[in-house]
Amino acid sequence: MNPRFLVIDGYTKAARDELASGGATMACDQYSAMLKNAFPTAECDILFPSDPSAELPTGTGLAGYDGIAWTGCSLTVFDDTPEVTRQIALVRAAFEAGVPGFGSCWAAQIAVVAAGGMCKANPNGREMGIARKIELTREGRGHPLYEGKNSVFDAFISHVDEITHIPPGSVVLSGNVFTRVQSVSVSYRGGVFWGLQYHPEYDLHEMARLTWCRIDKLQSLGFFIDRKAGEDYVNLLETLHANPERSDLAWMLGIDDDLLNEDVRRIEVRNWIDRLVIPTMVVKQRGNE
Amino acid sequence: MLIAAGVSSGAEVYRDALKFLYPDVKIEIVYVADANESLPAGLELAGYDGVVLGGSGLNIPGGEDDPRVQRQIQFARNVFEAKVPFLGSCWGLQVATVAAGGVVATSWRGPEKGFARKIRLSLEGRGSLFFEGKTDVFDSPVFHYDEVTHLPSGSTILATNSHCAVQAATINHAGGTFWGVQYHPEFDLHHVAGLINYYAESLIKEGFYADIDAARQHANLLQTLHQNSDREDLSWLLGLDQDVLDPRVRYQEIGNWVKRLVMPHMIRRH
Repeated sequence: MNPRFLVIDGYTKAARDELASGGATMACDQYSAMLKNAFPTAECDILFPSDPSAELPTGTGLAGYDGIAWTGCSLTVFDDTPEVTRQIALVRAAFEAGVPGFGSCWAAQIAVVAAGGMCKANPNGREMGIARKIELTREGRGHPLYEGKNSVFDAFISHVDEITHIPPGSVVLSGNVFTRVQSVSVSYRGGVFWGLQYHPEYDLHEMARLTWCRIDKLQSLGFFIDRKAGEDYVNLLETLHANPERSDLAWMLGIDDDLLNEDVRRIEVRNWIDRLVIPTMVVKQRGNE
Repeated sequence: MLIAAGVSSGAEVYRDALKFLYPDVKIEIVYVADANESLPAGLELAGYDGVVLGGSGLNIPGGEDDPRVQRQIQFARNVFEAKVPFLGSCWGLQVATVAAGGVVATSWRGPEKGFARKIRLSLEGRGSLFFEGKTDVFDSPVFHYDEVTHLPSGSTILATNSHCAVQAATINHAGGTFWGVQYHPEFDLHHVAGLINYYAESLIKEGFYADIDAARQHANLLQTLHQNSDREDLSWLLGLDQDVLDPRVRYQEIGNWVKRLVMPHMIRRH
Protein backbone atom coordinates (compact mmCIF):
# COMPACT_ATOMS: atom_id res chain seq x y z
CA MET A 1 0.00 0.00 0.00
CA ASN A 2 1.86 3.07 -1.28
CA PRO A 3 0.62 6.49 -0.27
CA ARG A 4 0.07 8.95 -3.12
CA PHE A 5 0.85 12.49 -2.09
CA LEU A 6 0.05 15.78 -3.74
CA VAL A 7 2.76 18.32 -2.92
CA ILE A 8 1.52 21.89 -3.33
CA ASP A 9 4.18 24.57 -3.81
CA GLY A 10 2.49 27.95 -3.52
CA TYR A 11 5.45 30.13 -4.56
CA THR A 12 4.97 32.22 -7.68
CA LYS A 13 7.26 31.54 -10.63
CA ALA A 14 9.21 34.75 -9.94
CA ALA A 15 9.71 33.86 -6.26
CA ARG A 16 10.82 30.32 -7.20
CA ASP A 17 13.35 31.68 -9.70
CA GLU A 18 14.76 34.14 -7.14
CA LEU A 19 15.35 31.36 -4.59
CA ALA A 20 16.79 29.02 -7.23
CA SER A 21 19.31 31.68 -8.29
CA GLY A 22 20.57 31.79 -4.69
CA GLY A 23 21.15 28.03 -4.68
CA ALA A 24 18.04 27.06 -2.69
CA THR A 25 16.24 23.82 -3.52
CA MET A 26 12.65 24.35 -4.67
CA ALA A 27 10.18 24.06 -1.80
CA CYS A 28 8.27 21.26 -3.56
CA ASP A 29 11.47 19.26 -4.05
CA GLN A 30 12.43 19.69 -0.38
CA TYR A 31 8.97 18.51 0.59
CA SER A 32 8.93 15.52 -1.79
CA ALA A 33 12.35 14.45 -0.56
CA MET A 34 11.17 14.72 3.03
CA LEU A 35 8.05 12.62 2.34
CA LYS A 36 10.01 9.97 0.42
CA ASN A 37 12.54 9.87 3.21
CA ALA A 38 9.73 9.17 5.67
CA PHE A 39 8.07 6.64 3.31
CA PRO A 40 10.48 5.57 0.55
CA THR A 41 7.93 4.11 -1.87
CA ALA A 42 5.52 7.04 -1.65
CA GLU A 43 4.52 8.74 -4.90
CA CYS A 44 4.53 12.53 -5.06
CA ASP A 45 2.78 14.71 -7.64
CA ILE A 46 3.63 18.40 -7.64
CA LEU A 47 1.32 21.34 -8.19
CA PHE A 48 2.13 25.06 -8.53
CA PRO A 49 -1.22 26.72 -7.81
CA SER A 50 0.17 30.26 -8.19
CA ASP A 51 0.95 29.64 -11.87
CA PRO A 52 -1.90 31.13 -13.93
CA SER A 53 -1.78 28.07 -16.19
CA ALA A 54 -2.13 25.59 -13.30
CA GLU A 55 -5.20 23.38 -13.41
CA LEU A 56 -6.32 22.89 -9.86
CA PRO A 57 -7.77 19.48 -8.99
CA THR A 58 -11.25 19.41 -7.51
CA GLY A 59 -13.44 16.90 -5.62
CA THR A 60 -12.61 13.46 -7.01
CA GLY A 61 -9.21 14.65 -8.28
CA LEU A 62 -8.24 15.60 -4.73
CA ALA A 63 -9.86 12.51 -3.18
CA GLY A 64 -7.54 10.32 -5.24
CA TYR A 65 -4.65 11.39 -3.02
CA ASP A 66 -3.84 9.86 0.36
CA GLY A 67 -2.35 13.07 1.68
CA ILE A 68 -1.80 16.65 0.61
CA ALA A 69 1.38 18.35 1.76
CA TRP A 70 1.77 22.11 1.42
CA THR A 71 5.10 23.90 1.38
CA GLY A 72 5.73 27.38 2.74
CA CYS A 73 5.40 30.32 0.40
CA SER A 74 6.20 34.04 0.23
CA LEU A 75 2.58 35.13 -0.36
CA THR A 76 0.60 36.89 2.38
CA VAL A 77 -2.56 35.11 3.46
CA PHE A 78 -4.65 38.25 3.97
CA ASP A 79 -3.78 39.77 0.56
CA ASP A 80 -6.78 39.71 -1.74
CA THR A 81 -4.99 38.47 -4.87
CA PRO A 82 -5.92 35.55 -7.15
CA GLU A 83 -2.82 33.55 -6.10
CA VAL A 84 -3.95 33.73 -2.49
CA THR A 85 -7.70 33.26 -2.85
CA ARG A 86 -7.25 30.32 -5.26
CA GLN A 87 -5.16 28.51 -2.68
CA ILE A 88 -7.57 29.17 0.17
CA ALA A 89 -10.34 27.73 -2.00
CA LEU A 90 -8.12 24.76 -2.81
CA VAL A 91 -7.35 23.95 0.82
CA ARG A 92 -11.08 24.22 1.59
CA ALA A 93 -11.82 21.74 -1.19
CA ALA A 94 -9.15 19.41 0.23
CA PHE A 95 -10.85 19.58 3.65
CA GLU A 96 -14.17 18.72 2.02
CA ALA A 97 -12.59 15.82 0.14
CA GLY A 98 -11.45 14.42 3.50
CA VAL A 99 -7.81 14.12 2.46
CA PRO A 100 -5.30 14.46 5.35
CA GLY A 101 -3.40 17.74 5.08
CA PHE A 102 0.02 18.77 6.34
CA GLY A 103 2.07 21.89 5.78
CA SER A 104 4.56 24.50 6.93
CA CYS A 105 4.27 28.21 7.63
CA TRP A 106 1.97 29.76 4.99
CA ALA A 107 0.24 26.38 4.70
CA ALA A 108 -0.77 26.35 8.37
CA GLN A 109 -2.06 29.90 7.93
CA ILE A 110 -4.24 29.16 4.88
CA ALA A 111 -5.63 26.02 6.51
CA VAL A 112 -6.69 28.10 9.52
CA VAL A 113 -8.15 30.89 7.35
CA ALA A 114 -10.00 28.41 5.08
CA ALA A 115 -11.64 26.96 8.20
CA GLY A 116 -12.71 30.39 9.47
CA GLY A 117 -9.73 31.53 11.57
CA MET A 118 -7.57 34.63 11.21
CA CYS A 119 -3.96 35.67 10.66
CA LYS A 120 -2.18 39.02 11.07
CA ALA A 121 1.29 40.47 10.85
CA ASN A 122 3.20 39.36 13.96
CA PRO A 123 3.67 42.41 16.23
CA ASN A 124 7.08 40.99 17.18
CA GLY A 125 8.22 41.33 13.57
CA ARG A 126 10.01 38.72 11.48
CA GLU A 127 10.96 35.48 13.18
CA MET A 128 13.96 34.32 11.22
CA GLY A 129 16.42 31.46 11.30
CA ILE A 130 15.63 29.51 14.42
CA ALA A 131 12.40 29.50 16.41
CA ARG A 132 13.66 29.03 19.95
CA LYS A 133 12.01 27.24 22.84
CA ILE A 134 8.80 26.13 21.14
CA GLU A 135 6.72 24.58 23.89
CA LEU A 136 4.02 21.99 23.40
CA THR A 137 0.69 22.90 24.91
CA ARG A 138 -1.07 20.38 27.14
CA GLU A 139 -3.01 19.27 24.04
CA GLY A 140 0.22 19.09 22.04
CA ARG A 141 1.81 16.77 24.58
CA GLY A 142 -1.00 14.30 24.08
CA HIS A 143 -1.32 14.77 20.31
CA PRO A 144 -0.18 12.07 17.84
CA LEU A 145 1.66 14.73 15.77
CA TYR A 146 4.20 14.97 18.59
CA GLU A 147 4.60 11.36 19.63
CA GLY A 148 8.30 10.99 20.50
CA LYS A 149 9.06 14.74 20.36
CA ASN A 150 10.48 16.65 23.32
CA SER A 151 7.98 18.93 25.03
CA VAL A 152 10.30 21.87 24.25
CA PHE A 153 12.29 22.16 21.02
CA ASP A 154 13.81 24.54 18.44
CA ALA A 155 12.98 24.58 14.71
CA PHE A 156 13.90 26.40 11.49
CA ILE A 157 11.65 29.34 10.75
CA SER A 158 11.06 32.36 8.53
CA HIS A 159 7.80 34.31 8.76
CA VAL A 160 6.21 37.70 9.41
CA ASP A 161 2.54 36.70 9.78
CA GLU A 162 1.04 34.60 12.53
CA ILE A 163 -2.19 32.81 13.35
CA THR A 164 -4.19 35.00 15.72
CA HIS A 165 -7.59 33.27 15.90
CA ILE A 166 -8.25 29.58 15.43
CA PRO A 167 -11.66 28.38 14.31
CA PRO A 168 -13.80 26.01 16.37
CA GLY A 169 -12.59 22.45 15.79
CA SER A 170 -8.96 23.53 15.88
CA VAL A 171 -6.43 22.95 18.64
CA VAL A 172 -3.23 24.92 19.25
CA LEU A 173 -0.47 22.35 19.77
CA SER A 174 2.58 24.53 20.44
CA GLY A 175 3.83 28.08 20.76
CA ASN A 176 6.81 30.14 21.83
CA VAL A 177 7.40 33.64 23.20
CA PHE A 178 7.74 35.10 19.69
CA THR A 179 4.74 33.38 18.10
CA ARG A 180 1.78 32.12 20.07
CA VAL A 181 0.71 29.50 17.53
CA GLN A 182 3.63 27.39 16.30
CA SER A 183 1.44 24.44 15.33
CA VAL A 184 -2.22 23.66 15.03
CA SER A 185 -4.56 20.82 14.21
CA VAL A 186 -7.52 21.98 12.12
CA SER A 187 -10.63 19.83 11.72
CA TYR A 188 -13.09 21.24 9.22
CA ARG A 189 -15.90 19.78 7.10
CA GLY A 190 -14.69 16.21 7.56
CA GLY A 191 -11.02 16.86 6.82
CA VAL A 192 -8.04 17.18 9.14
CA PHE A 193 -4.95 19.34 8.58
CA TRP A 194 -1.87 19.38 10.82
CA GLY A 195 -0.03 22.65 10.28
CA LEU A 196 3.34 23.91 11.53
CA GLN A 197 4.47 27.54 11.56
CA TYR A 198 8.08 26.26 11.38
CA HIS A 199 9.89 24.26 8.69
CA PRO A 200 10.86 20.61 9.35
CA GLU A 201 11.84 20.33 5.67
CA TYR A 202 14.75 22.80 5.95
CA ASP A 203 18.25 21.84 6.96
CA LEU A 204 21.23 24.10 7.70
CA HIS A 205 22.12 24.27 4.01
CA GLU A 206 18.63 25.31 2.92
CA MET A 207 18.48 27.84 5.78
CA ALA A 208 21.82 29.21 4.61
CA ARG A 209 20.59 29.53 1.00
CA LEU A 210 17.34 31.21 2.06
CA THR A 211 19.31 33.61 4.27
CA TRP A 212 21.67 34.29 1.36
CA CYS A 213 18.72 35.26 -0.86
CA ARG A 214 17.43 37.63 1.83
CA ILE A 215 20.70 39.13 3.21
CA ASP A 216 19.96 42.73 2.20
CA LYS A 217 16.41 42.58 3.49
CA LEU A 218 17.58 40.98 6.76
CA GLN A 219 20.26 43.64 7.11
CA SER A 220 17.63 46.37 6.75
CA LEU A 221 15.60 44.65 9.48
CA GLY A 222 18.60 44.61 11.85
CA PHE A 223 19.52 40.91 11.75
CA PHE A 224 22.94 41.79 10.33
CA ILE A 225 24.98 44.89 11.04
CA ASP A 226 26.34 44.87 7.48
CA ARG A 227 26.40 42.64 4.40
CA LYS A 228 29.62 40.96 5.53
CA ALA A 229 28.02 39.85 8.82
CA GLY A 230 25.27 38.24 6.74
CA GLU A 231 27.76 36.47 4.49
CA ASP A 232 29.75 35.27 7.52
CA TYR A 233 26.57 33.85 9.04
CA VAL A 234 25.68 32.01 5.83
CA ASN A 235 29.21 30.58 5.71
CA LEU A 236 28.96 29.50 9.34
CA LEU A 237 25.73 27.57 8.64
CA GLU A 238 27.25 25.98 5.51
CA THR A 239 30.42 25.00 7.41
CA LEU A 240 28.40 23.33 10.15
CA HIS A 241 26.22 21.60 7.54
CA ALA A 242 29.29 20.21 5.75
CA ASN A 243 30.99 19.30 9.06
CA PRO A 244 28.32 18.08 11.47
CA GLU A 245 31.05 17.02 13.93
CA ARG A 246 31.85 20.72 14.57
CA SER A 247 30.05 20.72 17.93
CA ASP A 248 31.94 23.92 18.80
CA LEU A 249 29.97 25.83 16.14
CA ALA A 250 26.65 24.27 17.10
CA TRP A 251 27.31 25.16 20.75
CA MET A 252 28.17 28.79 19.92
CA LEU A 253 25.02 29.17 17.80
CA GLY A 254 22.98 27.50 20.52
CA ILE A 255 21.62 24.71 18.34
CA ASP A 256 21.32 20.99 18.99
CA ASP A 257 19.74 17.79 17.68
CA ASP A 258 16.36 19.51 17.37
CA LEU A 259 17.81 21.09 14.22
CA LEU A 260 20.81 18.93 13.38
CA ASN A 261 19.31 15.45 13.60
CA GLU A 262 16.92 14.86 10.73
CA ASP A 263 15.04 12.12 12.59
CA VAL A 264 14.34 14.45 15.49
CA ARG A 265 13.55 17.42 13.25
CA ARG A 266 11.02 15.47 11.17
CA ILE A 267 9.21 13.40 13.79
CA GLU A 268 6.07 15.38 12.93
CA VAL A 269 6.17 14.22 9.28
CA ARG A 270 6.56 10.58 10.16
CA ASN A 271 3.76 10.88 12.72
CA TRP A 272 1.48 12.53 10.15
CA ILE A 273 1.99 9.58 7.77
CA ASP A 274 1.73 6.88 10.47
CA ARG A 275 -1.06 8.37 12.55
CA LEU A 276 -3.21 10.20 9.99
CA VAL A 277 -2.43 9.23 6.36
CA ILE A 278 -2.12 5.45 6.69
CA PRO A 279 -5.09 5.02 9.07
CA THR A 280 -7.21 7.12 6.67
CA MET A 281 -6.03 4.92 3.76
CA VAL A 282 -6.95 1.76 5.65
CA VAL A 283 -10.40 3.05 6.55
CA LYS A 284 -11.01 4.09 2.95
CA GLN A 285 -9.87 0.72 1.57
CA ARG A 286 -12.04 -1.24 3.99
CA GLY A 287 -14.98 0.95 3.01
CA ASN A 288 -14.37 0.06 -0.65
CA GLU A 289 -14.20 -3.69 -0.03
CA MET B 1 22.59 38.02 54.38
CA LEU B 2 25.54 35.66 54.32
CA ILE B 3 27.16 34.65 51.04
CA ALA B 4 29.29 31.53 51.36
CA ALA B 5 31.82 31.46 48.57
CA GLY B 6 34.12 28.96 46.94
CA VAL B 7 35.68 31.53 44.63
CA SER B 8 35.85 35.28 45.21
CA SER B 9 34.37 36.38 41.87
CA GLY B 10 31.45 33.97 42.39
CA ALA B 11 30.56 35.64 45.68
CA GLU B 12 30.87 39.12 44.20
CA VAL B 13 28.43 38.39 41.37
CA TYR B 14 25.93 37.12 43.91
CA ARG B 15 26.43 40.26 46.00
CA ASP B 16 25.83 42.40 42.88
CA ALA B 17 22.64 40.47 42.08
CA LEU B 18 21.26 40.88 45.62
CA LYS B 19 22.21 44.57 45.69
CA PHE B 20 20.52 45.08 42.31
CA LEU B 21 17.30 43.61 43.70
CA TYR B 22 17.53 45.03 47.23
CA PRO B 23 19.99 47.99 47.31
CA ASP B 24 19.99 48.24 51.13
CA VAL B 25 20.67 44.56 51.84
CA LYS B 26 23.58 43.94 54.25
CA ILE B 27 25.92 41.27 53.00
CA GLU B 28 28.82 39.40 54.55
CA ILE B 29 30.99 37.02 52.57
CA VAL B 30 32.65 33.97 54.09
CA TYR B 31 35.14 31.77 52.22
CA VAL B 32 33.99 28.32 53.29
CA ALA B 33 36.72 26.39 51.49
CA ASP B 34 39.52 28.15 53.40
CA ALA B 35 40.82 26.15 56.37
CA ASN B 36 41.65 29.30 58.36
CA GLU B 37 38.23 30.89 57.83
CA SER B 38 36.06 30.55 60.92
CA LEU B 39 32.57 29.51 59.89
CA PRO B 40 29.48 30.64 61.75
CA ALA B 41 27.39 27.87 63.24
CA GLY B 42 24.40 27.44 65.54
CA LEU B 43 23.07 30.68 67.01
CA GLU B 44 25.49 32.82 65.06
CA LEU B 45 24.27 31.26 61.81
CA ALA B 46 20.67 31.68 62.90
CA GLY B 47 21.38 35.41 63.21
CA TYR B 48 21.40 35.75 59.42
CA ASP B 49 18.21 36.28 57.43
CA GLY B 50 19.45 34.15 54.57
CA VAL B 51 22.45 32.15 53.42
CA VAL B 52 23.57 31.85 49.78
CA LEU B 53 26.06 29.25 48.56
CA GLY B 54 27.33 30.00 45.06
CA GLY B 55 29.59 28.30 42.55
CA SER B 56 33.01 26.77 43.12
CA GLY B 57 35.77 25.08 41.19
CA LEU B 58 35.64 22.08 43.54
CA ASN B 59 33.97 18.74 42.79
CA ILE B 60 32.01 16.50 45.13
CA PRO B 61 32.81 13.28 43.20
CA GLY B 62 36.35 12.44 44.30
CA GLY B 63 36.20 14.99 47.12
CA GLU B 64 35.44 12.46 49.89
CA ASP B 65 38.74 13.15 51.64
CA ASP B 66 39.11 16.78 50.61
CA PRO B 67 38.63 19.00 53.67
CA ARG B 68 37.66 21.96 51.43
CA VAL B 69 34.69 19.91 50.21
CA GLN B 70 33.75 18.26 53.50
CA ARG B 71 33.83 21.57 55.42
CA GLN B 72 31.23 22.95 53.04
CA ILE B 73 28.95 19.92 53.32
CA GLN B 74 29.09 20.24 57.12
CA PHE B 75 28.43 23.97 56.80
CA ALA B 76 25.34 23.25 54.67
CA ARG B 77 24.09 20.81 57.33
CA ASN B 78 24.48 23.54 59.92
CA VAL B 79 22.52 25.98 57.73
CA PHE B 80 19.66 23.47 57.38
CA GLU B 81 19.64 22.88 61.14
CA ALA B 82 19.72 26.62 61.88
CA LYS B 83 16.57 26.85 59.71
CA VAL B 84 17.89 29.92 57.88
CA PRO B 85 16.47 30.39 54.37
CA PHE B 86 19.07 28.82 52.10
CA LEU B 87 19.72 29.49 48.39
CA GLY B 88 22.29 27.94 46.10
CA SER B 89 23.50 27.79 42.50
CA CYS B 90 25.48 25.01 40.87
CA TRP B 91 27.94 23.90 43.57
CA GLY B 92 25.51 25.25 46.16
CA LEU B 93 22.74 22.93 44.93
CA GLN B 94 25.13 19.99 44.90
CA VAL B 95 26.46 20.63 48.41
CA ALA B 96 22.96 21.09 49.84
CA THR B 97 21.87 17.86 48.15
CA VAL B 98 24.69 15.82 49.67
CA ALA B 99 24.29 17.53 53.06
CA ALA B 100 20.66 16.38 53.10
CA GLY B 101 21.49 12.80 52.07
CA GLY B 102 21.33 12.94 48.25
CA VAL B 103 23.90 11.97 45.64
CA VAL B 104 25.96 13.98 43.12
CA ALA B 105 27.95 12.42 40.26
CA THR B 106 29.87 13.52 37.18
CA SER B 107 27.35 14.27 34.43
CA TRP B 108 27.28 11.36 31.95
CA ARG B 109 26.61 13.84 29.14
CA GLY B 110 29.81 15.71 29.87
CA PRO B 111 30.24 19.33 30.91
CA GLU B 112 27.41 21.79 30.29
CA LYS B 113 28.91 25.22 29.70
CA GLY B 114 27.95 28.65 28.46
CA PHE B 115 24.18 28.61 28.44
CA ALA B 116 21.75 25.97 29.63
CA ARG B 117 19.19 25.89 26.85
CA LYS B 118 15.50 25.10 27.03
CA ILE B 119 15.25 24.61 30.79
CA ARG B 120 11.62 23.64 31.41
CA LEU B 121 9.68 23.82 34.63
CA SER B 122 8.13 20.63 35.95
CA LEU B 123 4.48 20.72 37.04
CA GLU B 124 5.76 21.36 40.57
CA GLY B 125 8.06 24.08 39.24
CA ARG B 126 5.13 25.82 37.57
CA GLY B 127 3.37 25.94 40.89
CA SER B 128 6.45 26.89 42.94
CA LEU B 129 6.85 30.43 44.27
CA PHE B 130 10.56 30.10 43.41
CA PHE B 131 9.52 30.51 39.74
CA GLU B 132 6.71 33.01 40.16
CA GLY B 133 6.74 35.34 37.15
CA LYS B 134 9.16 33.16 35.15
CA THR B 135 8.17 31.66 31.79
CA ASP B 136 7.72 27.86 31.70
CA VAL B 137 10.77 27.52 29.47
CA PHE B 138 13.95 29.60 29.66
CA ASP B 139 17.73 29.71 29.18
CA SER B 140 20.36 30.66 31.75
CA PRO B 141 24.16 30.83 32.09
CA VAL B 142 25.63 27.50 33.19
CA PHE B 143 29.03 25.91 33.97
CA HIS B 144 29.20 22.44 35.50
CA TYR B 145 30.70 18.96 35.28
CA ASP B 146 28.67 17.32 38.04
CA GLU B 147 24.96 16.99 38.61
CA VAL B 148 22.44 15.84 41.17
CA THR B 149 21.51 12.22 40.46
CA HIS B 150 19.50 11.40 43.60
CA LEU B 151 17.60 13.92 45.65
CA PRO B 152 16.97 13.21 49.32
CA SER B 153 13.41 12.63 50.50
CA GLY B 154 11.68 15.93 51.14
CA SER B 155 12.94 17.27 47.82
CA THR B 156 11.19 18.19 44.59
CA ILE B 157 12.63 18.64 41.09
CA LEU B 158 11.42 22.00 39.78
CA ALA B 159 13.18 22.26 36.40
CA THR B 160 14.94 20.07 33.84
CA ASN B 161 16.57 20.29 30.43
CA SER B 162 17.89 17.72 27.97
CA HIS B 163 21.42 17.95 29.40
CA CYS B 164 20.62 17.78 33.09
CA ALA B 165 17.60 16.27 34.83
CA VAL B 166 17.90 18.45 37.93
CA GLN B 167 18.24 22.10 36.89
CA ALA B 168 16.32 23.30 39.95
CA ALA B 169 15.10 21.72 43.16
CA THR B 170 13.79 22.51 46.59
CA ILE B 171 15.13 20.52 49.55
CA ASN B 172 13.49 20.36 52.97
CA HIS B 173 15.83 18.91 55.55
CA ALA B 174 16.21 19.07 59.32
CA GLY B 175 13.59 21.81 59.54
CA GLY B 176 15.37 24.05 57.04
CA THR B 177 14.39 24.95 53.46
CA PHE B 178 16.77 25.21 50.53
CA TRP B 179 15.93 26.47 47.04
CA GLY B 180 18.56 25.85 44.44
CA VAL B 181 19.44 25.81 40.75
CA GLN B 182 22.13 24.02 38.76
CA TYR B 183 22.52 27.07 36.48
CA HIS B 184 23.76 30.56 37.36
CA PRO B 185 21.02 33.20 37.40
CA GLU B 186 23.56 35.52 39.08
CA PHE B 187 25.94 35.56 36.05
CA ASP B 188 25.74 38.34 33.46
CA LEU B 189 27.41 38.17 30.04
CA HIS B 190 30.43 40.06 31.35
CA HIS B 191 30.99 37.32 33.91
CA VAL B 192 30.44 34.55 31.35
CA ALA B 193 32.98 36.22 29.03
CA GLY B 194 35.44 36.45 31.93
CA LEU B 195 35.08 32.73 32.66
CA ILE B 196 35.59 31.88 28.98
CA ASN B 197 38.81 33.88 28.89
CA TYR B 198 40.01 32.44 32.20
CA TYR B 199 39.22 28.81 31.30
CA ALA B 200 39.95 29.10 27.54
CA GLU B 201 42.57 26.30 27.59
CA SER B 202 40.28 23.71 29.14
CA LEU B 203 37.32 24.83 26.99
CA ILE B 204 39.45 24.16 23.89
CA LYS B 205 40.44 20.71 25.23
CA GLU B 206 36.79 19.92 25.91
CA GLY B 207 35.84 20.83 22.33
CA PHE B 208 33.91 24.04 22.97
CA TYR B 209 36.34 26.00 20.79
CA ALA B 210 38.52 25.06 17.84
CA ASP B 211 41.35 27.30 19.08
CA ILE B 212 42.23 30.25 21.29
CA ASP B 213 41.13 32.78 18.65
CA ALA B 214 37.65 31.27 18.56
CA ALA B 215 37.42 31.49 22.35
CA ARG B 216 38.59 35.11 22.45
CA GLN B 217 36.22 36.04 19.61
CA HIS B 218 33.23 34.47 21.36
CA ALA B 219 34.15 36.16 24.66
CA ASN B 220 34.43 39.49 22.79
CA LEU B 221 31.01 39.00 21.19
CA LEU B 222 29.48 38.38 24.62
CA GLN B 223 31.30 41.39 26.05
CA THR B 224 30.09 43.60 23.18
CA LEU B 225 26.54 42.40 23.71
CA HIS B 226 26.87 43.03 27.45
CA GLN B 227 27.86 46.64 26.83
CA ASN B 228 25.35 47.17 23.99
CA SER B 229 22.16 45.36 24.90
CA ASP B 230 20.53 46.91 21.80
CA ARG B 231 22.75 44.81 19.49
CA GLU B 232 19.87 42.54 18.44
CA ASP B 233 21.96 41.18 15.59
CA LEU B 234 24.36 39.63 18.13
CA SER B 235 21.71 38.27 20.48
CA TRP B 236 19.98 36.71 17.45
CA LEU B 237 23.22 35.19 16.16
CA LEU B 238 24.06 33.68 19.54
CA GLY B 239 20.50 32.60 20.26
CA LEU B 240 20.23 34.64 23.46
CA ASP B 241 17.16 36.54 24.58
CA GLN B 242 15.79 38.37 27.61
CA ASP B 243 16.12 35.19 29.71
CA VAL B 244 19.85 35.87 29.78
CA LEU B 245 20.12 39.54 28.81
CA ASP B 246 17.59 41.16 31.13
CA PRO B 247 18.72 41.00 34.78
CA ARG B 248 15.12 41.39 35.95
CA VAL B 249 14.22 38.19 34.15
CA ARG B 250 17.44 36.36 34.97
CA TYR B 251 17.36 37.28 38.68
CA GLN B 252 13.69 36.34 39.07
CA GLU B 253 14.42 33.21 41.16
CA ILE B 254 16.80 35.12 43.45
CA GLY B 255 14.23 37.85 43.99
CA ASN B 256 11.50 35.29 44.64
CA TRP B 257 13.66 33.56 47.23
CA VAL B 258 14.16 36.85 49.09
CA LYS B 259 10.49 37.79 48.83
CA ARG B 260 8.98 34.41 49.68
CA LEU B 261 11.47 32.79 52.09
CA VAL B 262 13.75 35.46 53.51
CA MET B 263 11.24 38.27 54.14
CA PRO B 264 8.65 36.20 56.03
CA HIS B 265 11.46 34.58 58.06
CA MET B 266 12.84 38.06 58.93
CA ILE B 267 9.50 39.47 59.92
CA ARG B 268 8.74 36.55 62.24
CA ARG B 269 12.16 36.84 63.87
CA HIS B 270 12.22 40.59 64.56
